Amino acid sequence: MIKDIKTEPQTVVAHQHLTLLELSDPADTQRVLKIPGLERLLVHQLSPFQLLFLPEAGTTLEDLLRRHNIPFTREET
Amino acid sequence: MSRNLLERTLQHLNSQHLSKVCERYSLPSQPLHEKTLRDALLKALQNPQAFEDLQGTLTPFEHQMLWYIKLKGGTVNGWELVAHALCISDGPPEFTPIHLFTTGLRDIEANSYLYLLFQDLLIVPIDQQSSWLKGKRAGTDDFRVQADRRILDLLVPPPAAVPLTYQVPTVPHAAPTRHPVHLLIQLALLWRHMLHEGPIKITQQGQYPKTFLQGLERHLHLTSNQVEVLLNTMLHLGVLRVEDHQVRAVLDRFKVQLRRPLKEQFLDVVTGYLKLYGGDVRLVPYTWIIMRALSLLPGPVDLSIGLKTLEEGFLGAFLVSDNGRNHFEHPMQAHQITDTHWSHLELLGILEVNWEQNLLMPTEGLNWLESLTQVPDRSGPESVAPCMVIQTNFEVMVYLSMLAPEHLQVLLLMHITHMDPQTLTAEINKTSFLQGMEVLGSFEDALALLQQASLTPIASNVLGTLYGWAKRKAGNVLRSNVTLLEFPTREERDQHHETVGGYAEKVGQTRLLVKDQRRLPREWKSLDYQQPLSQHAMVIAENGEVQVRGTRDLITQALVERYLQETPTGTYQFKPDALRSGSLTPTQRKRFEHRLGGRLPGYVMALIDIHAGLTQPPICEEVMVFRHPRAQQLAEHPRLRVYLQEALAPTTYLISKEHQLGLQEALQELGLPPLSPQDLPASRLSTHLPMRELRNLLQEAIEHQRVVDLLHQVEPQNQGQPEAALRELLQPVELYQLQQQWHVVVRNLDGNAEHTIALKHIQGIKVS
Repeated sequence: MIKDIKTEPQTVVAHQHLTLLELSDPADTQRVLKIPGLERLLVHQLSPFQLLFLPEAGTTLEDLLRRHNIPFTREET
Repeated sequence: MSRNLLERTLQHLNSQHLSKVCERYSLPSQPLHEKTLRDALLKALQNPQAFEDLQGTLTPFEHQMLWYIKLKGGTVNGWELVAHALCISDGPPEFTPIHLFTTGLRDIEANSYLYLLFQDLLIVPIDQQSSWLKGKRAGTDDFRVQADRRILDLLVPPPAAVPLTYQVPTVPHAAPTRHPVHLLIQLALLWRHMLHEGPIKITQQGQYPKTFLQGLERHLHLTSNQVEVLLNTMLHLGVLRVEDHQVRAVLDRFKVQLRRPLKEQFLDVVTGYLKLYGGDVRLVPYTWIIMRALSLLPGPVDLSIGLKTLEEGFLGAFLVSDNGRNHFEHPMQAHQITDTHWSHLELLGILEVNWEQNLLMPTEGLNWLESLTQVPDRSGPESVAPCMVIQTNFEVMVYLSMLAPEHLQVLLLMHITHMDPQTLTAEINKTSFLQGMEVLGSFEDALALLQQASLTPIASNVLGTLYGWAKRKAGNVLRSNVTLLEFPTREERDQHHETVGGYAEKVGQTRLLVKDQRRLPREWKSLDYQQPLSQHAMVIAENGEVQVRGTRDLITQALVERYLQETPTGTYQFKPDALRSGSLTPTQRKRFEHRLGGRLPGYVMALIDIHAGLTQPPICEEVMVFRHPRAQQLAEHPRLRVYLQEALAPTTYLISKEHQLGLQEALQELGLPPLSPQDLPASRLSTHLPMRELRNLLQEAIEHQRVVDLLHQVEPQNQGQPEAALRELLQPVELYQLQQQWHVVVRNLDGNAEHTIALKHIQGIKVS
């Protein structure tokens, strides 16, 4: 039995350098989630319109979206 | 030694040659004293006026030849220069031969075109020891010639030369089917396809996958060989790139290439092709020469006549005499173009061959190449006039003669359905439009190009649809370097949001999404997803409980939420449902193992593999057991041991399904009451009871109207059949004695039949 669980002090956590894909149509979100090979890049589904990916997803994600005819616009921050 | 070409060359000239150069620069050419002549020339060449004066002395032929060298960057293959001379003149200039350079100049017709240029040092061979100059067979020498930069810099464009045309009868009504712009369109569509498909893996041997080539064959209506040629040419042009055994489209380079004048794009592709497929790099100019020769044909001609004319009229100039036997200088032979490069030259739009009609047809592509060697002004932009009609049904008609580079970009928005030498038909559909937008960037740019290219205003229904497609694209936004802030409570999140203003977007209960880069307070915990995350963030104990440590990244949070359930002690256990559903995919498993710093427990792995279909599910099947207090001894019996092999205990054996019948038969042969599967486990019945006790049990059951579970022997229906045992639930009704034998009348449980069983035949009983 594991004992002495150390709990984290409650503070703000900043998850940095993520890649965000915002979609205007939840149906597109579902299509994106079904793209083979994309799961390994996905970090979290924030909402039906927002998906967070690992930063290294960049080019691969763009390639996959193109290959599956999901149009997108790239915006640099 | 001087850095200038002319001054360097003067050091190697004999007095006769120096004298001729002096004449050209209007200097005294006598006496024939090498040092005097050379010094006079060196002094004169220091004055820039000497080169300006030289410009005024150039003949139209010399002017054309030097301009060609200037177009080629100051250096050109000697044979190619001769080919150019053949195309713009009707014979070599007259001259009196002298001993040129240190070795003399070979006496063939081709060289006579260059003789005076060499003599006056308007051109200089890069290798003055070349066998080309010495009159021997071609070897591996450098055939290039160059001109002094000071001469070329002052050169003004010459009047356009009237190209020579051979007087060969043309074949009426024959016309090539390809236009040079077809090649550029095919390349652009192929490139668009490569961008759309993403990086293509190539084999270790550097070959494209067959299925990929076959797909492109269908898509572009080309052979796989032609597709490969185009792909490799694009690699050479840099619009495709190989990285880690993958071929990838290079957007920035393609955009630059796409905006170049069409003829220059065509030239880039042809020269790129020649460098790749022209064989030895030194031989590239020869294919070029053959293409120049083809440009002299007046139009579609008989194939054999065309080739004969080319060899005699053009390539004959390159004939050399070798021990009295004329032959073409290697590899100046027209038949070269008839074999390996034939289909490629057709693909490039250089020529077409109709084998059925035996026709050789030079194409517009040759004119394009020819014009690039003579066009004096390449700096002016090509005119951009509308060239297409976009109809309300999204069909497009394009007039190729009016096509400009901007229009080539517009074609990327379309699906091409047909091309002929004059026109192209296409349609704008969602897929093609969105794929083209990847290249063009913004919708505004795409629309502006479409409107510029269209001869008529674009119909409102077409515009509306295009807006709709573009809106969808604009609505899907990909951003890198965003930050997700996670607050302990909703109140703290809202408070922060109000304090710092609306730079961040509220997400869910406790999160803020920051889409730009900002400095964060130091006291906040930061997780950088560019770094490997949270290895050993989980620990798994032998009892299967999981402890999660440290700040949880989003992936860890998702794993915990989806696959684990918290125990009262604050640790976690795997959710049986999560594993049973088969939802722990290989990716999630890897993520778990990364955080565990090792593999998942065996039982979890087994469940995952079963759910993932990697291993078969557990099998449950009905079996029979053989049970007897002396089962081990019975198992030694030769007739039984084949069936009694899998002992579960000294008194019990497992009988597999295929042995069950055999065992029963063997027992029967041995005179033991055969057992049927439903008789097992027999121990549930009271067996071998004394007759009195059996009778009492039955009497009691009759009195209390109880059901009994009976195992009894059944008389065989026919003689010779073995006796069988039967186990059934029955209602005893009456006991009676007949001829000193006790019998019991029993009734089926459904009450519709009665029969009698002799007590001596009852082997087991259980009163329920």
